[in-house]
Amino acid sequence: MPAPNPVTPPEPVLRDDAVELRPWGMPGGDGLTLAVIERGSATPRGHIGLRVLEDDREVAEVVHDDVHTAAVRLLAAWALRRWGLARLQLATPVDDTASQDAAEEAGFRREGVLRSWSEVDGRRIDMVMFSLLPGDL
Amino acid sequence: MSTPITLPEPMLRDATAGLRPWREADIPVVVAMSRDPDVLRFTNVPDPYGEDDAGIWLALQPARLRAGDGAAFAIVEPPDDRPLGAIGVRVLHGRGIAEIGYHLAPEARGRGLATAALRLLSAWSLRTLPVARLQLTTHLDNPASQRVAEKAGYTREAVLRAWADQRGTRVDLIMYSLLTGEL
Repeated sequence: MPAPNPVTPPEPVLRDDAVELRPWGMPGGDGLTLAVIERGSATPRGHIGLRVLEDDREVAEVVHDDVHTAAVRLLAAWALRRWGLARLQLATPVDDTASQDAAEEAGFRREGVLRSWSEVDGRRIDMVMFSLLPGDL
Repeated sequence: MSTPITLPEPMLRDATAGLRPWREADIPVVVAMSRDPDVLRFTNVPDPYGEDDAGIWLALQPARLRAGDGAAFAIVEPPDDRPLGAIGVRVLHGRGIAEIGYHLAPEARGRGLATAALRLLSAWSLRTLPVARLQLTTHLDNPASQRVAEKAGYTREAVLRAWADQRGTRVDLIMYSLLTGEL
């Protein structure tokens, strides 16, 4: 299985009826970051990223602050196809229910709570893990 | 750079099991265990598995220790020194997490050896490795391994879909964890 090339950006932009994703800075290393622009708006709403896992090149993770449903849905479908991923995952802190609702709305399936999964500011935090597979599209 | 791992001295043991380092003379046993149909089905060992695979794996162990990547042990039944199973821990660098894997030879199953080995290795890992979380994964259709995890105090967290590559096929796995302070 050829490893996906994580630096392939969506060119020139990725868009659907709801949202537009534009390259944000230079793609590089194991991932890329895109600006999220809602259609009809001139200013970015925020950004969203993708990072291929270091020890499993068939899996990528959505990097996010607040999960923007339309942006995640658009980017996820593109990345699964274009990068040939076996699994796209998205983790949110257990107390961020807004992002969890948005992830599910974008088609991701909730898998469970992974305890002490991440470290933020020196504190271990529990994360809810979501996934989207090529067969879910 | 990560902290090198120092093997436990004396070897980890309780009333049921002991964990000792692997030796050159164990290679035929490693080959036999790795060719077991259940081990093949539930782990990512190479297939076919030969003495050269075991030799290379064994030769890599000192470098893994020096780099702080992980440690591998033979499961024995003291005072008998013969390997009856394998258990190992792998550090996921930069994450504060380590992952454990284990398997037993068919004739050694069903008498608590894996559970004892997992308890011993878990306690040692949480004490000596730079991690706050230990995790392990089992196949959905491997209830024996799930019982081992649960008896050793691990908590079942999730079924992770297409979580790992096993010789070219993505497999769903159940994730278990044990945190600092839970032993």
